[in-house]
Parts: sequence; C-alpha cells; structure tokens
Amino acid sequence: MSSQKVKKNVTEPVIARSAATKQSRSSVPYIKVSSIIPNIDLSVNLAGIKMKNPILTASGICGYGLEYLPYVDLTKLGAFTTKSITLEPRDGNPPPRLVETRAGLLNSIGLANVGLEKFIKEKLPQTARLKIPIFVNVAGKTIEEYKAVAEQLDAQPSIAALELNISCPNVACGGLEFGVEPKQAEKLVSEVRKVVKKHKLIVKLTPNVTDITELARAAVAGGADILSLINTLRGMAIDVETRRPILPRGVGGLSGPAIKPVAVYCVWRVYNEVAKANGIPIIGIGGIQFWPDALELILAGATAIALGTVMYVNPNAPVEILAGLEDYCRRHKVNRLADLIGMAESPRAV
Amino acid sequence: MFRATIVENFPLRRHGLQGNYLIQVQIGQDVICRPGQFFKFDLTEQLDKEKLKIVEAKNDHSVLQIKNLSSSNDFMTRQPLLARPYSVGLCENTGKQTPITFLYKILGPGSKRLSDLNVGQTLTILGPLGGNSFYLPKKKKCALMVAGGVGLPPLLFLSRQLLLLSEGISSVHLFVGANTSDKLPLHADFAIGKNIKNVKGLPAIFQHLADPRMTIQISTDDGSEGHRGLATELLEQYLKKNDGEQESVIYTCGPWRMMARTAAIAGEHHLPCQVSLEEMMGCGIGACQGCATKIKSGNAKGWEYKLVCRDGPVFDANDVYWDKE
Repeated sequence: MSSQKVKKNVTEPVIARSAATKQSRSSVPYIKVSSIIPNIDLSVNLAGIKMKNPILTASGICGYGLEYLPYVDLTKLGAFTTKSITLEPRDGNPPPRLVETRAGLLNSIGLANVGLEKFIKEKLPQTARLKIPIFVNVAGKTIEEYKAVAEQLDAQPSIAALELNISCPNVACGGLEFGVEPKQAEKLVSEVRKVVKKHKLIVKLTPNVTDITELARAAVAGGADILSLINTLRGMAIDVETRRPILPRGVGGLSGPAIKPVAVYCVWRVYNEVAKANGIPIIGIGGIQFWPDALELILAGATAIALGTVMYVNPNAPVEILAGLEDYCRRHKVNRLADLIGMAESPRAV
Repeated sequence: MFRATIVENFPLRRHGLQGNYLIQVQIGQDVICRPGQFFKFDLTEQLDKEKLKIVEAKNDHSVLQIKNLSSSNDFMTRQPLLARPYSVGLCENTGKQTPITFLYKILGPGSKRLSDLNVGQTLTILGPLGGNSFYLPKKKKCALMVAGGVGLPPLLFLSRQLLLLSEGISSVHLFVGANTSDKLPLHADFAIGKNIKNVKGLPAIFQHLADPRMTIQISTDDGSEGHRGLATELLEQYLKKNDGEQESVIYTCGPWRMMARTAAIAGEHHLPCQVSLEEMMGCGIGACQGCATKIKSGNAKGWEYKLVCRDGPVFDANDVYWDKE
C-alpha cells in the first residue's frame, strides 16, 4: 500500500511537468500549473523556529524591513534579519562607504544604526508587522554591552531569535575581536546565553580566520542554538589616481557573488565537522544570486539561507530563488526541500 | 520595480568618443516623478535570465513563468553587479503610459550595455527613488541653473516643469558646462545651431529650451563651444550684471567642485541654492546606509549622516559640508 503511494507520488510530477510545459507556452501563469502538482514542502525547522521557506535576508541588507516594503513583499520570506543593533546609536563610517568590485561589493558602513532604545520603540513594532520570524542582529564593544542589548531584546515577544555579530570587519570594536579567538568567542556566547532565555541564539561567524570550525565549536560550546556563516571577507580597494585607499578605514567587507565559493566551503566544513553531530542548524550566507547558489549552500549543509548583496540588484530575488528551488525539487522528485540539507556527496578523493 | 520597454535609445551626437545618449522608456503604467528623482537600472548582462528562461509576467513579479530551468550555474554572472542610478530627464503625466526620458553617458560596462539595447527591448528599473526633489521657493521668479555634464537631466526636467507649471516664473537661465564641445549632453542642434526653428523635430526633453523665457549658456574647458572656462563663471557674470536681484533661486547638479563653487557664489549673493548630490549607492531606498553624506543638523554634534538616496538627492547648499578632501 505504502509503496504504491510512493510510486504514485513519483509518477505524478512527470505527467504534470509535460502539462506545465504546454500550458506555459500558452502563457498561463505558472502558479496555476503548480496547483496540479502535489505541493513541494519548502518549509524548514530552524532549531524550533518554523519557517515557511528557507530564505531570509542577511543582516544589514534590508535595514529594519520598512525600507523595502514599497518594493518587495517581504512577508514572502521565511524570516527577516534586522541591521545590527548596538546599545547607543551609531553614525557609521564617513563616506564613501561602498566600492563596487569585480563580482563583488566592498562596504564600510560601520554599524550605523538607531540604537537599542529607538529600535525597540520605533522600529521593531513595524518590523514585527511582517508576521514572519524576526531575527535581530546584536553588536557591541564589550561583553557587557552585548549582554545589555541581548537582555532587553530577550524581553521582546515579537522577536524569534538574536544573532550575535562577532564578525563585523568595519569598526575598531565591532565584535571581530571576539570572532577570531575561540576562547573569547566561547566566553562571549556563554555570557550572552545567560541572559537570552526565551529566544534562540544565533552566532554569526567570520571567514577571516585560519579555521572556521574552531570558532563554530566555540560558539556551540558557548550555547549557540544556530550558526550563521559567513560574514564578509576583509578586502581593500585603492584609487590609482590618488593612490589612496578608497574606503575611509582602508579595509572593507567583501560581499557578492565573488565570495560564494568561500561560503559554500565554510558551510560544508562547519556542517560536517561541527553542526551535524551537535544538531545545530546553519544559516548559509554569502554571494547567493540565483537558485543554484542557494541550493549549493543547502546541499553543503545550510538549513536556511540568507540573501545579501543580491537584494540591492534584484529585490525580487527571494521569489525567483524560491520558484527555482521548487522547480528543482519537482525535477528531482524531492517532496520536501528540507530533505536536501547537507546532501552534497563526498568529494571523489575522500 | 518595473519592466520598462525602450521606446527610444540614440546618441545625441553621432561623433565623439564618449557619447551622450538619450533613452526613453515606457513602464506600462502611470507614474509621477519630481525633478531630482532617479531610477535604478539593472544593467546586468541579460545572459543569466535568458538562459534560465525566467519570463517575468509584465509588472507582476509575483507571477513567474519558468521553462527549462538549467541547473548548471557557470554561466550566471552579474557584470556589473549593482544597478545604476539615472536621474529623470523628463516624465510627464499623460494619463496612461507615462514615457520617462533619461540622458546618460557611456562610462563603463553598464552604460555601454544600455547603449547597445534596441527599441522594443526591455530592462528592469526601480523607482522613482529619492525622497527630496528640487522645488521653487515662495516669491522666487527667476531660476538660475548650473549643470555639469550628466548633471543636466534633472535640471532640464526642473526647467520644463517651472516653465510649464509654475505661475509667476519669469525666466530660467541654464548654464551648462562640459570639458569639450562633444561631451555636452545636449542635442546636436542646440549646441551647433543656436536658433532652433523647428522645435517639433526635437526630443521632448529639449523642446522647452526654445521658450522665450529660457536662456542657455554653454561653457567648455577648451573653448570648443561657448564660453571658455567654467559654468560657474557664467553664473557669476550673470549675477554681476543683475546685481541685487533677490527674486532668484539657484539650482545645481554636477561635479562636486562645481556644486561647491556654485554654493559659495549663492552664499556671496545671499540667494537660496539647492544641490543634487551623488554618492555610491547600494540599495537606493534607504536600507543599506551606503550613500551617507555629512549634513548640518540641529543636534548636539551639529551634523549627522543623511542618505543621498532617501533624504536627498536634493539638499540645501547651506547644509552640505563642502570642504571634503
């Protein structure tokens, strides 16, 4: 009986696919076609946080969510991550803050944000209206500052998780000193963990280290529920006419398609060496432009994936990527997208 | 976000190495733009989307048609990565399909690709963006505009709106500067023959330049056209001749130094001055904080970072810190 059922599920999409091709030729909207086919389950469970699909925005990309509302329906996302919040408001770095590079973007924003108080009072109530899980990114100069921000945010019921930014390359004290030293990282995470009682705790890792798995282990030992990786890679651009670095601090964070292979590798290693054994889900971030990029990260071990720079180019990317993932599942006869997490084959030489 | 269809796309002058182009697009619905506002053009190679065969239903991004999705992603690149902002040169509400006109100059791979697009082809544009636009202050009757290179389009748009829509505007004086004659983003007829008789033959963006209340003066660095020198010198000459005229307002858009000089001249003559600033932009809608610029403020520090895309691009010249670098 059950085998018959499985068989039916397998054959049905094939028939429906040919139907889909015919119908799309006569320009019938795709969505109508999908109703013929058994729905692909795109939902994922991120350490207990139920997301209707695996796509979220990376921190710092969509501000507090309000800015993008006139242009994109953010409610279609699986979750939303805010910009980094610090205890006090921050102006950010002097301009220029952005440099476009080949297949990438160097930024030096410097954690410009409205500060914790204004965020809770003015921004969060509006962000919460998205009615999707809200992740709030937290940054600080000291363990005390991280704790103070985390404690107050833990009391906000509209938040689903806090993401500890221990990997910002763009401020002198932006947490990166915690992010490159495993002992420091473990100490920070365990201290913050003490005050984060209600919400899930995400720790965002930097690729600017010798071995990212050491930091991942430290974060898990400190009590992280979820790992997100990678933050931007440190980079620099020099104006050859003036011979001066373009960004005010010289260094900037590189994002965009250029860093995707780094992200895939980091996720793959952290998943296989740390996360899988500890049952810790990963949010994969780094250079996703199209659905195959997203899928690569999922196959490498990411439960959810966050979009960054691509949102600047194509605010419609989440919808396009979801459509691509759904189509892939249909072609490969996968009923649940979550079944693909970490399903990358072993490299041939292993 | 709109899927825009190209109605016109041609070089303003056929000869010249770095050509200035005019592009007119239609977005299939009505849109209201103010002078100073801009659109972001996605100038990525179409290759990716065409190979992916993602066909977007017109103006409804929630509905997608997908055919033959390929899983090979080696062909998928975005070059250039970011969308390019272009100021609106003309956008008049006609009721149904508002055509929007832009002027642009080939400066890199993005604008090169834009110039290669043919009439009938489509591209994705986002806008109108920009929270603050040019406006006519009360009791001002004479508009003085200083434009540098591709800073011209928003001022063309503004001058047209002032002449056609603002009651009580008595004159508009436009001072346009460029390195050389062939880099002027003006229609060839305007730059070469000074007296335009057949206005109807011109693109709409230039037609109002023949209005009797309108004057244009051109300056080039090498003297190949008009005044040899800077556009700001033309402004100074004008203000010397019309000293004490307090009904004027100054608008400027162009290179930083030109705008800084214009702001200083406005200050000397106690005239209000509005400037349209430019900074490298990421999102264009106020989320990424990339295009911050230092603006005077009433807070304790006396200044704050404002975003060119959301809080500008137009600012009061008095509020800008001109002494950068």
